[in-house]
Amino acid sequence: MAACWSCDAPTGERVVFCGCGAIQAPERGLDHFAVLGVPRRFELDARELEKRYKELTRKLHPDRFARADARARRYSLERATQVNDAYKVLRSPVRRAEYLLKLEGIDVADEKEGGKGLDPEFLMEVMAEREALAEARAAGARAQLDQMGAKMRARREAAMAKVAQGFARGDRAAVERELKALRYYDRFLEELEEHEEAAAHA
Amino acid sequence: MPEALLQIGEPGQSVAKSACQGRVVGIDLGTTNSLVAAVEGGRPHCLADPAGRTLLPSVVHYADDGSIIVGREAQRLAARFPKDTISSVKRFMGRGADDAEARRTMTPFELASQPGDPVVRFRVAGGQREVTPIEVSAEILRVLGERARQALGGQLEGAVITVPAYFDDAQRQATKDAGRLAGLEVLRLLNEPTAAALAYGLDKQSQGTFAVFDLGGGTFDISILKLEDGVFEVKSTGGDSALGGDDFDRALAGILLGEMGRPDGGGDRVLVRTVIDAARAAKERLTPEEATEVVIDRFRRKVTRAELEAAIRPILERTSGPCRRALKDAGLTPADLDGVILVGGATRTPLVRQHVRALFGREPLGDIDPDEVVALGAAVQADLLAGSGPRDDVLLLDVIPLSLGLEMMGGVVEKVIPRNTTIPCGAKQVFTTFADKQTGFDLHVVQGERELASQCRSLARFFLKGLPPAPAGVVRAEVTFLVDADGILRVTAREQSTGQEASVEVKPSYGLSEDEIERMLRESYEHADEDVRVRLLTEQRVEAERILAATRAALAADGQLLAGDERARIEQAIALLDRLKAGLDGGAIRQAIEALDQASQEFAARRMNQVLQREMTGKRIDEVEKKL
Repeated sequence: MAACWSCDAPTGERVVFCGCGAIQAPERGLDHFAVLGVPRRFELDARELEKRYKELTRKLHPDRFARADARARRYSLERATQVNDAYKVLRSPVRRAEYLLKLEGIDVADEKEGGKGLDPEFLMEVMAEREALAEARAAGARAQLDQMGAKMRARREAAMAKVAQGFARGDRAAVERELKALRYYDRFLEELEEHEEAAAHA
Repeated sequence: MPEALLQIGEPGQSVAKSACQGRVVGIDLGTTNSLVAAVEGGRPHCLADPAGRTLLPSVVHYADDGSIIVGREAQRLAARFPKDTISSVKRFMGRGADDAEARRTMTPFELASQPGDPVVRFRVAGGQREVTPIEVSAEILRVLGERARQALGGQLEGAVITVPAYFDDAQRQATKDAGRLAGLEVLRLLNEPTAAALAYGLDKQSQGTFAVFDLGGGTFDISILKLEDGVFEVKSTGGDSALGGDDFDRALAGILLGEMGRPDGGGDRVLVRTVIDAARAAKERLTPEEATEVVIDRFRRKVTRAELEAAIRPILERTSGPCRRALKDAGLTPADLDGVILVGGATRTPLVRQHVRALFGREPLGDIDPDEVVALGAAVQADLLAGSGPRDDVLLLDVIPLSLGLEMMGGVVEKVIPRNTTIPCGAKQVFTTFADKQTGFDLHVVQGERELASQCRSLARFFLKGLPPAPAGVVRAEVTFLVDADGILRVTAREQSTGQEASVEVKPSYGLSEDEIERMLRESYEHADEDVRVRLLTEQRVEAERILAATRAALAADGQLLAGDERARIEQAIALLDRLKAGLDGGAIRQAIEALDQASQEFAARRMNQVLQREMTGKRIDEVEKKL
């Protein structure tokens, strides 16, 4: 059993604060779910997750340790960093799903694997759509761009629903496929937004 | 999964702070005006001077006889003694003599600092004295402190001083030093938008997402704040540090000067000053009135509100971009907001309110005087700190204002931590070698939104040496970025097989002016298209070089593995790629790379087999030896 660095009292696993009030060293190698203390699964209530994050942050943030011992300050910084990094990933359903697969050894974000497992027809379609996007951008076809954006957002939503279903059924292959498709949709939407941003600025 | 739950105790003695008993105040140390406020009878209010005025112009005059005059009186002396009268000193806080900000606004003052000096120094009092921005600010704070002692009676125990949301570490430190120099205990530096939110009673009991639209005399700031469970989270910030109510005055003054037949004032500083002052007064009268008259000597001119609005509309329009961007960065639409808070005297102008209403689709909250709102919020925070102890503090979660990244082969930037990420934070990325037997990594840390490192701000450069010799792409280095709660970045690089390590510490925001931040953001949007094209092309060229070198090496080493017309096909593809790689068409280069990949696929597979066979053979020999 580990002991508190400040008062030497024994501390249990996953203890953040010892009874004496001293913040304990963060545990290494915890996954993001364990850091935030939420179950490791895709279905997470966004409100609950946020509440949990705020609750931890309120206690761990370095501002709370501004006048504390150097060691306590370091642990607070490390813990707050851990919590922020975990929340950044888990708050986004796409990143959370990708992270879950990654914990199982499937790296959706790996560029070299990009097109693998995707229907060639789907790839052709996406390519054609991106060409259409480039043309519409060049022509400044506002209405057409809006329409393309709306269509893509609808597809994105449908894919997100399929990801949730895939996790519920334990169908990892489906989840992986949809997540890869989502990367295409998101890149498309990003390009569209960049264009809108540039147009608004001009 | 109960074992995954963290146990939370109360952070007890480790956060114990000295409890404050006496009178405490909140101070808005502004660019144009400063104020002091205190909570009395449960409500915050601004403290006035004997003449009943709450605003203290942030102007300090150093007279020849050694006396120091602060405020309205100093303002009146500015025209006669431009060198001895320091205004807008906030722009110089925490700045070195070489900072763009210091050079830009230096015009009326005489600088005593030399290039390379870590602080700006002004020569004042007829050349007899040198003062730093910290000392000048301290004079303003001293006057406010004295005012508070008079008004409240007795000693001051401490003060909360406000700073702009993205003041960097050096600027915050300078503000704290000014407070200490003025004999104040600085309990806390508070971000201005947070202070404004606190003034509206948005304390730990409230929930919601708010936009704080702050249009001061010379600067514009927009912040999106989320308040929940006692945590103020800055979702995004943005602004324009060269946009404010002063520009409205100048726009109107320009029209007046034109009609006086002196379009740019003809170098007559006194005339320009007089007309700008008249324009400001007219602007203020046009808030309650539809029309007013400007009188300057024999020049008389009726000005309507519509005329003023036509003159300032283009200036106001420049706030739209930063607002839209801040919303987008926060992942919100105007409908998601629970309120918009107005801060800064310039938001009194009716057209500004109308503009904000149109931008955010709702009536802005404006029932607290926009000049006073920040000081009032600071007083609320001071009262919280003094009264109920640290556990009732609201906590502010801040973000990094610009993305942090590393320069890759070909000058392209790989963003490691995107802007508006909550701090403290960390990120890890793995990079591999580009060339065979590469002995080191040259790590260049940059800050900014552009795709090319040359267009971002360089923060630090360091080397990771002593890599084990290996083919390209085999050696892997893990690079870790850590940003602490003060925004200080530490970058560590570690080679994975040997554990070789190198690191560097940089302050990402130190010396980066708000101007630079904005310029960099603006350019990233203006050049988004071009950057993506350049990036694509650069990446393809790098990839082309890699695959050409690898294929040529393979042909030289294992040519005997080639079958039939394979060599001819591969060489044809090499020639094509060689020709295209210098061109400007990234897509064509990509296709040529794919073609070469295709042509050499079988050859590559055969080489792989050969390597595997060698490995296996080698192992068997080992085993045999062991048995002997």
